[in-house]
Amino acid sequence: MKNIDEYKEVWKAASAEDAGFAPLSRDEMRAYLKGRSHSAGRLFRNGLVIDIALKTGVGAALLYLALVMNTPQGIDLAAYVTLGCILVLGSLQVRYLVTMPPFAPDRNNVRDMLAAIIEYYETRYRTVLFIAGGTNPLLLVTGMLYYFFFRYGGVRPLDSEDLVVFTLFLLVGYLLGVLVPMLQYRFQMNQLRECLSDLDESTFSSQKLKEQKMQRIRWIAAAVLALIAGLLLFAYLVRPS
Amino acid sequence: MSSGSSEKKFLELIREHENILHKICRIYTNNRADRQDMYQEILLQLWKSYGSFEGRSSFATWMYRVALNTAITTVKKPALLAVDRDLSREAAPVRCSGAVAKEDLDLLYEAIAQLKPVDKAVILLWLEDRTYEEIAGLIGISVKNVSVRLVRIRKKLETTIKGMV
Repeated sequence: MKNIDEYKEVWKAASAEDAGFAPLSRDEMRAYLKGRSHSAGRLFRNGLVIDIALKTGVGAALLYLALVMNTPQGIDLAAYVTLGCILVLGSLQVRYLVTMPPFAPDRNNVRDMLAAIIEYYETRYRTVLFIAGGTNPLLLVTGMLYYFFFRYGGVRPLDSEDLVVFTLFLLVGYLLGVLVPMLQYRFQMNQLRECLSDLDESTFSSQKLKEQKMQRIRWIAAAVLALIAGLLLFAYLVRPS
Repeated sequence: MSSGSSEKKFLELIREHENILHKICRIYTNNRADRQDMYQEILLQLWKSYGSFEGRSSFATWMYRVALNTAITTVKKPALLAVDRDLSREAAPVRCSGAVAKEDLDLLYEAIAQLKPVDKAVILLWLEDRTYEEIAGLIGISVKNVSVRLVRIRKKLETTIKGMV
């Protein structure tokens, strides 16, 4: 068996083909330059852009309802209030988008790059996810306003039971809007955290990992509660009269 | 410099150093499809950063920096399937350049595949004859830490290869 220094010589003598690659033509390389990035920074940015676009669509639907359709005052008012919420949340998201760091891979070493991405996710992007979660309830409210308008011609007077049902729907919608993307990011963020903790045990101490585990448990508990609430609501709605 | 000539110059530089990129892609992925995705991602990041490359360090050093940062921080798919080593072998052509012993190289790649992402970067830079200072600068650890890690990684590689032979 060779020792590692001998393997090093083998490594140095190896070509791209030995690494399992056929050489790429110039055109193939050019095509690669026009592809889509899957970097963490690009993912953060795309998530924000998609949500802002969705909010813009909901806002446009509300404006159409309030300005173009001949809606009664109750619906107008509700549409403007919802639109106000969209403007506030949307402008916050635009601010996050504009101030997002570039995560430049040519300016940082591996440790700084990992720390920058994780810190951004922990301190800023989580807030973005909580804001973006608001899109679901706003979409529900808009849908309900359209329904009320076409079904009853105005906002039907709501009794306390209606309010409980709608509030639960909005709550479940919000929780799903927050939790689903958080779970999507969890896998990658955990990988990056592992790399960083490998680089710097003191920065990412076991205490911090324990705190993260507790946080995860809290989120799972919240999701389970939301699910139970949703099921109870469903059971209530389909109960025999 | 026009965009066209800048792209041409960039692609020439990549062509000169493509060995490095291919080796990085191979050690950070398990199959051909992922390898191509990673190659594209690194190439994209290099191209996006190329405008700010000021030549303070050599192109190769700059390339290591961008490529390793990208390889370590790029979104990876959950490993639903076991590591597909057969595919990586299949991807390599039967012919081998010069005196390179394909089996030895495959053994080395397989042993490196079992290291943690940061250790992969450290050993790759060492195999590429980078100095300890350079490795420390690129990874973001002290020179002493590089030296300690290398002793540990080399030992681990030797044990792994011994187990495979």
